[in-house]
Amino acid sequence: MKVRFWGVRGSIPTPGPSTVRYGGNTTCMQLVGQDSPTIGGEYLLLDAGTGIREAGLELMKMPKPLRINILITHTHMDHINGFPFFVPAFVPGTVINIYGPVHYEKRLEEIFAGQMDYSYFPISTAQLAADIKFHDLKECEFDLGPLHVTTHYMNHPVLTLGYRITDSSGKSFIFTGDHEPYYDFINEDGGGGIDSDFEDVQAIVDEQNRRLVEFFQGVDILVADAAYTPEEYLTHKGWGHSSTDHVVDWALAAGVKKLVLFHHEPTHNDDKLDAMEQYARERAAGKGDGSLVVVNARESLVVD
Amino acid sequence: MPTTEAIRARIEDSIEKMPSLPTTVAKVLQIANDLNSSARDLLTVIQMDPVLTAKVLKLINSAFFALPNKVSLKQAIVLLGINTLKNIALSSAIIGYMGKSKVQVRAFDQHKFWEHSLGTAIAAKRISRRVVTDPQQWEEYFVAGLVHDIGKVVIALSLPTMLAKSIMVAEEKKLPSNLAEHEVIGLDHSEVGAMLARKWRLSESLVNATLHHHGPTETDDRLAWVVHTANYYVLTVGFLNSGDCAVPSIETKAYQVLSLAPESFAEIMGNLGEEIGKASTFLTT
Repeated sequence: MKVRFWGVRGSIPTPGPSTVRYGGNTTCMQLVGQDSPTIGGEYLLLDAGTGIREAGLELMKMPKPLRINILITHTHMDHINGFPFFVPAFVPGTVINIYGPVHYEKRLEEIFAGQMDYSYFPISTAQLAADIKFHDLKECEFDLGPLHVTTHYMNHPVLTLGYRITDSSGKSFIFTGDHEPYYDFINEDGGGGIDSDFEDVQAIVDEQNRRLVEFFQGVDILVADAAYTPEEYLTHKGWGHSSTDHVVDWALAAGVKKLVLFHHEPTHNDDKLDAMEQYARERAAGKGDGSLVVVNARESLVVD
Repeated sequence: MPTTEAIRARIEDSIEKMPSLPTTVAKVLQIANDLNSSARDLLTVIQMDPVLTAKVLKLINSAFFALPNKVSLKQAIVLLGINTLKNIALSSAIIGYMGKSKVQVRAFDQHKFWEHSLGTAIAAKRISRRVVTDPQQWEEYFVAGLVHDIGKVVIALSLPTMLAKSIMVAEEKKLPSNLAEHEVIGLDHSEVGAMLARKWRLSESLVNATLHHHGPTETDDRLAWVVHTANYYVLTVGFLNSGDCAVPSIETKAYQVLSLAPESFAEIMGNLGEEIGKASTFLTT
């Protein structure tokens, strides 16, 4: 199992000369077999940001009919807005299974249909020729052919799932989706210190953060939201994203083998991302035993 | 006279459309629409509104979260995050506005209901400090006190005419509200509240405490006994609910179960009015 990146940007596409090396498409990646683009005869994509358009063009070169699974971490725009341009969805005979978390008022299918409402797009989900099924997920475990999938609730301002996927050889991969460490937003944002009514919140926060490191435990490849520098994080607390410090520390605590920095900030150009990668590598080397590999995600990169 | 089945069906129907209380609606809207408002302010309002509290617990315990253990209100808050909470509070507040016209039982005073619910919550928490050593558990006692009468809002919403009639009967015969409701409707607010708590997948102990708050004799559950006792003392110190024309009696077994002497309650209930007054001021400024 290897991971191939089709879109690595967060929030909004950022085309232009300053982002050429890392790419401007929003979130989409593919898990491929060691020597085949499929795993167990099916294609597997994670998230459907603008990167999925090119992934779809690549899949169109493959033998038909296509069987495709798409795991959605959450339904924010930058993670689903490439789907209306995913060509295989327009091809009769294609089978697409889309998995993702529910919003507390809407099902996954309704949210996808919403962005293809006639005001936004000329073709509705009902008119797509492929056989498309939606599956609402919770914190759970299930099998996708030879792959075992475990989901975990993340901390982001809409229900978000992280995915841990293990193949038949035991190799494991995690994509966090968008995530920020849990913190005591009640007392920290309330001003005036700890309120006795909410004094036990910190213990709940610590437990949630501990559960997360447990979820990361020993994974081979961790693709993690590391949108901010530590300095930027201070002014973006509560936005639902992590800093390079957070993810390096989690990777070290959980004994991760390879850390892929992901969800690049739209304001970060190629040079800035180079510097962040360097910084994260130095932190990993300084705090760990030197075995943790740190790399920036970029379009078309394949991580084994 | 509709059959009990028909009455139950009407109640089931109303449970999903529970409005928030007008007491808190304006404050919720003010806080939720202010980008600079603090999370703590919003939580304070949610903690004071029985309907909002129940809605947050309903969401976190709902099928799609499917968490292995029933979570407390604070865990729910940490898990859901402030944005989702704002959304729940806002949608609940908006339903509250629309629902205002629906809860048109003049005899059912929502402000009195809120005062009585909050008073019972504070009293239950104060009693719990005397009988439970683990501070982690005190919150559940507060929540149980807060939601114990939530069935009254459901009845007001689904059976306004019958509720008005039961309030009249209570006044005529000088009855506690639950007995008058039984006479007129065939069931009372504790049973209706438990229906809501079950449907919203609140914890079994909250269902139990709501169901038995007028007479926990059939249960050994300490939470139910604390709510029963808190409810009794809150009524005796004057925080009456609509239709309470007599204070329901306290089961004497309560003192034994809680190992508390009746004399200690004067101190436990001291300055309750002041605390409710403070909450009221917070909501109206």
